[in-house]
Amino acid sequence: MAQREENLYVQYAEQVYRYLFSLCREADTAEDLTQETFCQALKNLRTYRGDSTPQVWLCGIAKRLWYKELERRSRTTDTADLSQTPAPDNPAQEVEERSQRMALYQAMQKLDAETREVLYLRLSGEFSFREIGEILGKSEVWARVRFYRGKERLVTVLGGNSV
Amino acid sequence: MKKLECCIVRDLLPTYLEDLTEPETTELVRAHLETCPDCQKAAEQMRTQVPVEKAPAKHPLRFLKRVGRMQWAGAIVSVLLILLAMGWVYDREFHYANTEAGWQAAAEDYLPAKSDADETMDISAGTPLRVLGAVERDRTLYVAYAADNAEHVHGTLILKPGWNHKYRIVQATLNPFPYTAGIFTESFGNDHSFRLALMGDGCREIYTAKMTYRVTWMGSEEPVFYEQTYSIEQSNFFWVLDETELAESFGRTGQIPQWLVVEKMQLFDKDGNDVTAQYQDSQVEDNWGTTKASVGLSHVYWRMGILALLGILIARYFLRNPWKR
Repeated sequence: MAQREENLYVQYAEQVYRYLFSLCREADTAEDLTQETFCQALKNLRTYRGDSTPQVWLCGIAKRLWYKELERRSRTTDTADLSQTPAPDNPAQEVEERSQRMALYQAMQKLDAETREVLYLRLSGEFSFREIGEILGKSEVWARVRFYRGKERLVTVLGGNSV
Repeated sequence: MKKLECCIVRDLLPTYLEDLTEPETTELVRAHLETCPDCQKAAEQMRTQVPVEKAPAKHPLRFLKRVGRMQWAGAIVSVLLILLAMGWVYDREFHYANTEAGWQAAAEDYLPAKSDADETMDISAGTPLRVLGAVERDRTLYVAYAADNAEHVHGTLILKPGWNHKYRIVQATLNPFPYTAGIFTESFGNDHSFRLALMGDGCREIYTAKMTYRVTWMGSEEPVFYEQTYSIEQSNFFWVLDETELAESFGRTGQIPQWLVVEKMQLFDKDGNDVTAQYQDSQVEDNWGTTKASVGLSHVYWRMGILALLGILIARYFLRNPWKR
């Protein structure tokens, strides 16, 4: 890679990866799509107008790629695959964790898309509220409020069980 | 009054929970929470830890180098297939093992004429071929054969070894032999070496043979005649003598024979009687001799080269980063 492109990669790769992980929650997919994101980004470097931060621009590309991947998956499989974390050694524990994940997933689906995205970005991607605001084109305060309101709603939906 | 405070406190909660509120505000909110169970519940709910997987830490360098397991599998399988194909191409050329079966196969594959057989100078398809023996010297395999046809064609197949310990035929000689049994001789000479091949065919009743050679030595113009007597112990045999052995047998150690021709052959039975005439076939004249030679190895090498190139391209396709599924 040329120097400038390599700098771009070094600077933002990790964030793009975390962003993708917060969208798909699959480590392998996030890694692959991160590489594809940068491939595409480097090809389209000319179209970047600088009206958003590089991070936001890259996350936009990443999100598009993730949706393309979702579309491809929906064409090949029927059921929506839930989180693909590897099974632990303890089967009883695994069953417990699976049902927990299932409950969480379904509860998440009850939130509106934006709130859900904020939650994943914060919890999975560990982004700051400022970063979340930038990515979603909103303010930091908005992101913070959405986050906590989202958690409150989530807990309500989950029946008030402390998880 | 309480109701109004609750709405405000609710709005303030996100900021309060992040410790971003002014100290006075913090104190006010805390005091309210102590007395208001609804707002306290809301705060609890907002504080809850949600078990969502965090993105696992990835070493940044791994990004650039990561190649999936399926990609490796694809690359390795295709490289193995290509290597197999290259081995097969090589084996088709270096095809014959240094065994009786190998020698026979080499003779049967190579010697009969493929098309438009010349009446006298070719061996026609279907002619029985017998291998009389094989000798390997200096990484060259000589296989002596006899054809059971009108001209009693005899000759030698010359083979060279490959890396797979099998041999490829480089050339073969075809010569008429005006005898039904006896010793057929042939000399092979080039700039590097001189060899004399003697092959015995059907010598069951023959116990001794006397050959008269006419030899031209390197460095002298005049040919010299030698008589050599051999005692025969096997019906079929094959000897290959190199120049040192020849020079020694003629008492000219150190000299190099340049050309050798058999002037006369005499065959004797176990009682010492000259039985040469019994084996002579006057129908056959020793007036021709041909050599069949193989084309070079270039076609093998460029085929293997193309396969290797193909293998490299396929492997690169699989190991491409990132991998487009």
